[in-house]
Amino acid sequence: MNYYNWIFKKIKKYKLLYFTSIMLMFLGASINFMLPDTIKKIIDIAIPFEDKQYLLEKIILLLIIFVLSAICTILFEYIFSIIANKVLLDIKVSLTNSIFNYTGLDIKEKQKKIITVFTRDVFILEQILTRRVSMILIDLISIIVILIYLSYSDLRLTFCIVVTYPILIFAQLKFNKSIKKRTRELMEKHDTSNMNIKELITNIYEYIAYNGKKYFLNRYIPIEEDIVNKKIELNLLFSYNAQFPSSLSSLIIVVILGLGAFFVIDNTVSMGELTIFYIYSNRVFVPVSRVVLFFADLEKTKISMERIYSLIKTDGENNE
Amino acid sequence: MNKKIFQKHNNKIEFKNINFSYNKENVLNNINLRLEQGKINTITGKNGSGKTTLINLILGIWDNYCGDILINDINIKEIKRSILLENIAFCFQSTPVFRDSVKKNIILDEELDDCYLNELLKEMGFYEDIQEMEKGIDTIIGGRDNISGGQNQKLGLIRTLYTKKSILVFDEPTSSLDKKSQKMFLDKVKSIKENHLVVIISHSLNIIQSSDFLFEIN
Repeated sequence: MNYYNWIFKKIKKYKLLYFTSIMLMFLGASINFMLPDTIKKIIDIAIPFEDKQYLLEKIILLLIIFVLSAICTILFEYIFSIIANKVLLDIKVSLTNSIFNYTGLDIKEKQKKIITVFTRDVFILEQILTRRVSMILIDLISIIVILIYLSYSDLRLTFCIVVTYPILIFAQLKFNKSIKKRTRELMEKHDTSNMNIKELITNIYEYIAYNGKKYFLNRYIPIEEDIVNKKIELNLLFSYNAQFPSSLSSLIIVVILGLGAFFVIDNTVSMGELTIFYIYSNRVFVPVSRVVLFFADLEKTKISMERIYSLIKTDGENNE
Repeated sequence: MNKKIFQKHNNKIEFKNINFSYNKENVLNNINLRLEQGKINTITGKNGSGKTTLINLILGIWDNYCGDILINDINIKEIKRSILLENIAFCFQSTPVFRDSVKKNIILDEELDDCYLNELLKEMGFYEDIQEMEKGIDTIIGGRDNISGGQNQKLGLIRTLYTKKSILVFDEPTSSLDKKSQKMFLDKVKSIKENHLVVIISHSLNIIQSSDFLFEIN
């Protein structure tokens, strides 16, 4: 059993809650589908024909859409948080159970990792499972819904947006490779650093009696300095990673405005449609950036998952 | 000024009317004791009688005791803890083994003196054990599975002796040693007692019989 199967087995227990949350997500997306059309009708019909009654109806509809969409999002995130936290508790219990089944060889090989796995790796998993995954699912659905709507409005302008996605994905794959390598190195350094801290805590009295401050710091500080350098490298990589989609998004907005303005002059696109494209090209790129960043974080999470699973995978794992 | 407290010869520690408790219950009751250089000073007594506690007080970590502890007539409450620790070496009942080489585990942050280190290793019967290790003295140890209980104890003894500090305190130093190693330790202690104030906490008959001064805590 690999760790994907293992985590799937943990998640499967909550299939009813998952089903409910996915239903809520689709409900939210359907409601959001009405949003751009309502804005377009306000700009293209209510304003030019000075129809105040129609304008009021559309504004009330907009408010209802916003409220329903917010309710769906909150409920979805709440249910998702229940699932994620229960899965995390299951993982922690499995970890503890596995430790009690360790053989001498397991103890020797895995002891170094235990503290970092319980503190850092579980925390990384917690961050991504409890908040980020739900946000990303909402983002993905939003992107799909918006793109469907935009392609109905004007295929040419939608194409300008969609054409950038392969570039984004290709760049992300490159970044992911570097992020994964550096994350693994960083976690291994954390293992060593945590072992030193554990040694200090266990032998604090003896360390003082040996006048061992210098001895401890000579071992601890170089590792911590290494960790700091690796963290700076990793943060820089994340910054490049975040900057790339936002730069691309700015470029596409300029292209859409320029091209869209020509289409309005040619009467092939209405002002309302151009406004929708201006608003929604932003709203497509922000979630895309988040999804792209999520995949970078997912690399970190995959490493944490592998590390957690490496502690759980023992001869006695079936005794869980 | 603090640095001149410890001498090459004639160091002494005096415990005067010492009372101490960790919580409410008294661990030490009115202890009066004088330990001198040139002797093997042994403290013995039942388990839990406060032998280790008494000796730990001179580390300066616990200062909530009543009475006075004097080192060369100076109250240790007036001596900086760093000065105490620079001059007193402790060998604990169970020696902590750090994840590091055997060499670094012995010398910690002291300067390396290869000749003296090898001399100690041979005198304490640890040299052969090290030769059998994969990378000799540079073998990384740590955790529980690398060295035996006896080797662990020898490591602690050598670590303490290597410091050459004025006061050397050994807590149950031979509990995991075989007879040959116990004799090696006693021979070493006898040879250094003139240059160091040696204090041993022990139940061992061998050590008690070899002591020049014996104090029993009831």
